[in-house]
Amino acid sequence: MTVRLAGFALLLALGVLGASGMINSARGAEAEDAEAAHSAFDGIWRNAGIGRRPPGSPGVCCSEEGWQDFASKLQPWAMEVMVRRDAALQIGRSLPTNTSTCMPDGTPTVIDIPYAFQFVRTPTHTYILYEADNQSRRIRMNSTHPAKLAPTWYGDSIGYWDGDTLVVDTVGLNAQGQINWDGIPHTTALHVIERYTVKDPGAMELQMTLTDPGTLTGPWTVIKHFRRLNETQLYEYVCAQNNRDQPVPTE
Amino acid sequence: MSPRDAMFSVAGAGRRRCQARLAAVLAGALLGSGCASHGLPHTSPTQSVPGPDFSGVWWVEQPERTLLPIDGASVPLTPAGRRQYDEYRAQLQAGKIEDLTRKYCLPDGLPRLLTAPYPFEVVLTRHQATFLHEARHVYRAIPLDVQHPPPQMMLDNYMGNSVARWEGDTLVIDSIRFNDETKLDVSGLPHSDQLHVTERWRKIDGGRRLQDEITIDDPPIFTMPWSTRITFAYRPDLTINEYVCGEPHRNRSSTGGAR
Repeated sequence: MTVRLAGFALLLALGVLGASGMINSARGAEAEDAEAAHSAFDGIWRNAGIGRRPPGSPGVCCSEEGWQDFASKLQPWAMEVMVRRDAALQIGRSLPTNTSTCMPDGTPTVIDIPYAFQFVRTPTHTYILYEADNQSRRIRMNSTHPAKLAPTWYGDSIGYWDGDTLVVDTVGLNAQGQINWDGIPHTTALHVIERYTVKDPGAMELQMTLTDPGTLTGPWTVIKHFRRLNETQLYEYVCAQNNRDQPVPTE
Repeated sequence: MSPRDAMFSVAGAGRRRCQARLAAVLAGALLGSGCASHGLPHTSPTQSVPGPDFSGVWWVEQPERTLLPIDGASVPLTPAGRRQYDEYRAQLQAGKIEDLTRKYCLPDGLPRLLTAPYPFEVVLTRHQATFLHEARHVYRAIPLDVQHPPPQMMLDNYMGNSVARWEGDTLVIDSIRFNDETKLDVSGLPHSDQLHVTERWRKIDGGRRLQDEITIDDPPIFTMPWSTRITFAYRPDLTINEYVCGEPHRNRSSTGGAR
């Protein structure tokens, strides 16, 4: 009897151990799959096309249709600022934007610039290191935005994995930055959602949605493409060293 | 194979070794970190991380300190090094020159950046040691287990060119090829283009403090290699703030380290 009970207890214990082992290994396999998918982001990336304006039209994005869509949503005041900056650029003047004065590019302009960047992943954070002037962003994973935020250049970024897509949600931006390199302003109400997906080992796509009632009449989504740079590193880039040029006229 | 390829295949070999060790640990049914103890992603930068991993936020204990050798001797300057140092300090004091690092908001170089009165965050992952310094928003992204690229692939940088490796509980960072626009410390200690900085980072005091033992080798400026120590306090209560040149910032004096 005692022996039988002991034997039963042993079988039960083995069963429990076995079952928990299976559960653990299933969870382990899931975690491994996720890690394998997320590790596809590791390495150095660069804008595949720098997303400048289509010839003959001022504007941000990659195609005539994209520009039309964007332009149709841009508030008149923001369009005016952009056209003024663009006119200055066309005659070789550089108006003092944050980018031209070695201030931070900030979010989301830093995404638009043609220099390399790198994701650094930990379970709790994703960091993006940008070659351009040593800029970096710190993204808290599976977190929430604080109720009160002092506006900053890069804003407050939280992130999560939607399957194999890295989603980054940013608010709390100051109004000194721009929507992109083309000089389109934004307000502190700007809300940026980035969805990064590695399409194949050498190509990453970003679907970025901007919402800013102060600048845009509705949400605007743009697709950007990045390619992997193999066998390279982030090089030191010091804006203050290269851009100590003559004063620029004020706006 | 080009030297460039060789550099990166060393990284591959390091990864394979790591995987082999991890497999061995798993085969032995051991729960634990295996090669994880040397740089697997940490659990949380807001928790003290066990083991040698010193990921997290740190703040220098004695900011803007003039560097001195550990053994209490004076810095072993060569006559040429002494001349450069004395001239620079005299001109600075007389107001004939300015501290260009401050004036133009440039990267401080090594080891000066480590004494800047701002916190920094360390992120240690398998293949890279990342230091995110609040001061002048400088980051160092240092590859692990690789050799320096061949000389023609390196530029002379403010922060030099760095590679790192683990030696037991110590992260060793080897940096060469600095430009000539930085000083070793705030007092203006000079260096030449032959500067070679070796840093040995490890936790002390049960992980509440971090120590960097730094060896400076620069034959034109110093008669022999010499070592100094910089220590840091663990500050899980802090996150790294934006640092924008020309804007007001927190620093040790503005917060008293009391946040």
